Amino acid sequence: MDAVTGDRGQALVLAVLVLAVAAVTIVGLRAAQERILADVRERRAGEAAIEAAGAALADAQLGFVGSLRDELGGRRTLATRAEIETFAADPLVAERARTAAEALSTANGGPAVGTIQISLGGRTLELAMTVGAHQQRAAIEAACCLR
Amino acid sequence: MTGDRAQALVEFALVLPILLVLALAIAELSEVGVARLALAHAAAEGARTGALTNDDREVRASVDAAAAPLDPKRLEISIDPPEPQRGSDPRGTLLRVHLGYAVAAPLSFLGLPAFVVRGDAARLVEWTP
Repeated sequence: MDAVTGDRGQALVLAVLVLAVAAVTIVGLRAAQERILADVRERRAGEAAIEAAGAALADAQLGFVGSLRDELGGRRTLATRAEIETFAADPLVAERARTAAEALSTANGGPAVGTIQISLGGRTLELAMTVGAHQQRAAIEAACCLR
Repeated sequence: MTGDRAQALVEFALVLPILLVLALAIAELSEVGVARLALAHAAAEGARTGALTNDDREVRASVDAAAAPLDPKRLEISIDPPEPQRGSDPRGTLLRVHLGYAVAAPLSFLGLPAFVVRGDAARLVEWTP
């Protein structure tokens, strides 16, 4: 114990303290970086996922409206509100949006897509999903309800 | 240089290199952290631009602008697939932007290799001719 008593060894004690502080700083910095980067990655993956899901939803709506026929058998360019509500409630449509979202989230190193909700707002189809801890939303023009 | 003074000097001489290495490690870790964040942001911006414009020059310009704190000369940008391979109607193509950035190691003049930090992002091309 002679090395840490009296004047001798003071530098050693100080050095050990500084080393400990430096080690804690490095570990803390690294942990903070990883946390921030994981959050950024999740957020970006969510943005990519909601865009892909929105595009898939728009394509699905286009296909749906294209399949509608009027009384004379001609193609319609717009659906009724009730038809779009039925379309929005179709689980296959949600599944298509989910598949697209999952692919993009995975491609961006993000987590699995959580809940997906598709609903008809005033004049837009609204898409909401959770990716990790983040809520993502998108809206596309509904092919109905125009004045 | 005898007795207590000498002992303190020897202790200091022994500990100084370790302290310097730790100080450099903290500085390096901070620089790597900034680079990782900047690359994640720049890659996402580049992929987003590519999805909207389908133009590789726009992607590179967007990446350079978004990676602003980093030295553009040390920034490597790779776009997959490149524009000529995306065809005339690329909508729905998965566009990936890969970035690499060499962070100079401390004491690099001794021949230590640089740390290469990477950032990636992917988007579906939305652009239509």
